[in-house]
Amino acid sequence: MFEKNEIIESHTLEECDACKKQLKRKFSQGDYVFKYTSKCSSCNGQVRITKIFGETLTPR
Amino acid sequence: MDFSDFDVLDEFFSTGDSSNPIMMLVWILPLILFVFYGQRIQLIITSGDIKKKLAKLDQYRNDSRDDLIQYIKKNLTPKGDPVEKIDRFFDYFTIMPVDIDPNGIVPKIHRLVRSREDTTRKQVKSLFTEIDAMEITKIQTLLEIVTTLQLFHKIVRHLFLTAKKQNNYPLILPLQMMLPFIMEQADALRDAVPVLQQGQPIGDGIGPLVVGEMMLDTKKQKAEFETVYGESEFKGRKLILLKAEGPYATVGRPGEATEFLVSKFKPNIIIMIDAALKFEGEESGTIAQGFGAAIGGIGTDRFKIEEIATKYDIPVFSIVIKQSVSDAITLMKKKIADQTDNIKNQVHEMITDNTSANQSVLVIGVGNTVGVSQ
Repeated sequence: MFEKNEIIESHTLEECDACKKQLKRKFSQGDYVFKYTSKCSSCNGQVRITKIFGETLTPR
Repeated sequence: MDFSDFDVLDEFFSTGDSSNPIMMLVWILPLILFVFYGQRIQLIITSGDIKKKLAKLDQYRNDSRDDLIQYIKKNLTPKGDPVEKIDRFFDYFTIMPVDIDPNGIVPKIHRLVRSREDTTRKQVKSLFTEIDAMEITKIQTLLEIVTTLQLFHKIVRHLFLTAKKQNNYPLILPLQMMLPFIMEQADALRDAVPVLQQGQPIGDGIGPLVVGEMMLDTKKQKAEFETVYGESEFKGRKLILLKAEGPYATVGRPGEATEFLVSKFKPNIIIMIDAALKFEGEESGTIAQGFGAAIGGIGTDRFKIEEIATKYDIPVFSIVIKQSVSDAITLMKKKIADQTDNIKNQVHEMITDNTSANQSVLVIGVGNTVGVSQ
């Protein structure tokens, strides 16, 4: 159970199929796991979403 | 004057002397009160707590209903005002088949569940001028959530009002004991609404996530309605990989799909990967291996898998990922998502330990595949 003062932030993890470079960003509508999103900025390979998950932010 | 042995309590109430009539009243009155009215006093105290929880359940039901209607009006194209029809969905009920039937009631339950799903899907479809498969599955799941919250509210209210009406304290006891469990599920269902609206993966989707990754470079074929499979190879073994069709909010039809694939490929072993409820004290995301069909639901899919495995004498192995009710139906937590590689390694280990080269394995990712493709 999420605690009352917990804020869950959703993140999307992208990974290049070729160079395995990873990028973590905030989830945006339309994202789903294994979706091809863009070309890799380093090697021009295909970047796809490998994970979508929630992380807890506890307010100070 | 010496007041050293003056005891105020003793002077006025004669605590040392049991013959004082005031003292007798002080002791006897509460006794009489508790003997005759004890249960009513307890009923009043307990009622306050239950009333607060009942109000919370009512709020959850109303909020999730309003969220669903808002979502439909904002994101989809309903034919006219859908509110009346949607409100009718929440009161749908299912009458279970007679359980004294010696011929077995599983096929009857299976037919009943499938016909309910099919009818709801058709009715959801008929509400809109245009709607895609993803949105249909999302609306169907959200309808189930609101219906469940409504049912929780109705049952708790019924038991509470019956106990109050009859001034029957023992009747309220089971409700008081069950309420924390009901509230845990209700909290989780309420938290699941925004996650499903956005089509994000939930904790229950860890099985489809692992199998979806194993299916990535394979040709996806339809095994059953909203259920797909792919063929792959690992260390000389043929792998048949099965999961619900993502990224839809569906669990697919694993029972029928397994029957189809077992008849077609005759695998040597079946491995099932699913989320399982953790015990209190256990860490979320813990992995455990075991035997037998790891699949939840009403039981008809498990029955079908057990039947076909028994018919062809196929051992069934399971890998479960422990999580709480809340973790299972809300946004997948990082510590669960991070277990993907670990689970995949355990699946591979299970395959090499229990089969030899040229044999085949059916790997099933069980669970709701919302937000997880393949």
